[in-house]
Amino acid sequence: MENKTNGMAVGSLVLGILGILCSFFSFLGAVAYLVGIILGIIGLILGISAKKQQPCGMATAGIVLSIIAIVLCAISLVACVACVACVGGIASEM
Amino acid sequence: MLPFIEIGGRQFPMYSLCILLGIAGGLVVSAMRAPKRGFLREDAVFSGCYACIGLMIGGKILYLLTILPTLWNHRDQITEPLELIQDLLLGGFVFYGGLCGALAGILLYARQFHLDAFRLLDLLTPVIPLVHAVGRVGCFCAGCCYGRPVDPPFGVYFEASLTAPHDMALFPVQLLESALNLLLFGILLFLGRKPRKKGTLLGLYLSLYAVLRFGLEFLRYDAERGSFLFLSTSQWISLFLLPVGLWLFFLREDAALFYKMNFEGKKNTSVN
Repeated sequence: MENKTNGMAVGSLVLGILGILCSFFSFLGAVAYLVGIILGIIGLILGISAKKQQPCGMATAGIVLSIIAIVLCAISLVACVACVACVGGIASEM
Repeated sequence: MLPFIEIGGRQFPMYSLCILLGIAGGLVVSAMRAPKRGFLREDAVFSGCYACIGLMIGGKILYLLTILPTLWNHRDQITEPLELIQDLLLGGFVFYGGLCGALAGILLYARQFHLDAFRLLDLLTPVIPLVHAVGRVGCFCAGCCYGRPVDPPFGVYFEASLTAPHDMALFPVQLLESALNLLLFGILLFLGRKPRKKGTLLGLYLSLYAVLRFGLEFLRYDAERGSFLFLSTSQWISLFLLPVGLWLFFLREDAALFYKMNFEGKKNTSVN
């Protein structure tokens, strides 16, 4: 059980770091941000599960890094208008 | 208004900044209320994180569902499908989808960690209108979800908006909805000071918001919301949510029992 929890904490930490790295890959376009959000979400769930099962610093670090990754990636991407504009553009071409 | 803001030489959408600000505020309020309601602060924050994940997924799924008919009708004009898929995944959310996703996320958290789902929902419910209120300010800044054309001073020109028409003054229905949500937040916070029966706050919120949203939809002018027959998608969902909310509010013990019998995990280690 202990190994499983530690594994989840390590996984959360790694995914959080990867998610943050994705937020710096702006040259790859929006796909990098999207991947960063997905990694952050998985890292967050793993980190919370690890912390609830066996509280440890690594799980806390994983949760914090995953949240930072989600925030950094989402802040650049989540726009209420982007897609509406895109569809509006299609409609106006008619 | 102000769709983007420049911080450190980089442009950020005001919409996402407002949403994140609302979520941060909501998590703080939840964490502050948690100990008095028999929950750990970390449970309030973590279940809030699950709710946020559900909010993103649910809001996106409902958005894709509402926009699907438009895409299907204009499928011949789609020349770059990959770019369109990317845009669809990144932009656009529908609140009701987000609400359902957030509630599902909270229920999932309660089930996973054997907490009292209805009490957890009542802990987090007052935060929903707070996040929504701040998010609507973001909509106002972005110029989306706008209202019907009216003359100034009641109308506003969204000159910098990517979606709103620039040549007419539009009613800032986003700000009205934001103010009403803040009022709802205040009411729920006030009623939530004392212990209530399970599901009371959630039922009250769902009922009141369904009524508010049904009325506010008549003031909206953005055509991309999706509609069926003579009502918009959100109005149909409001019609469905109102009885659910009333059921939770008036028959809350039945609702709690129904949930317990059908969905709750075997073990319950909640502090309640």
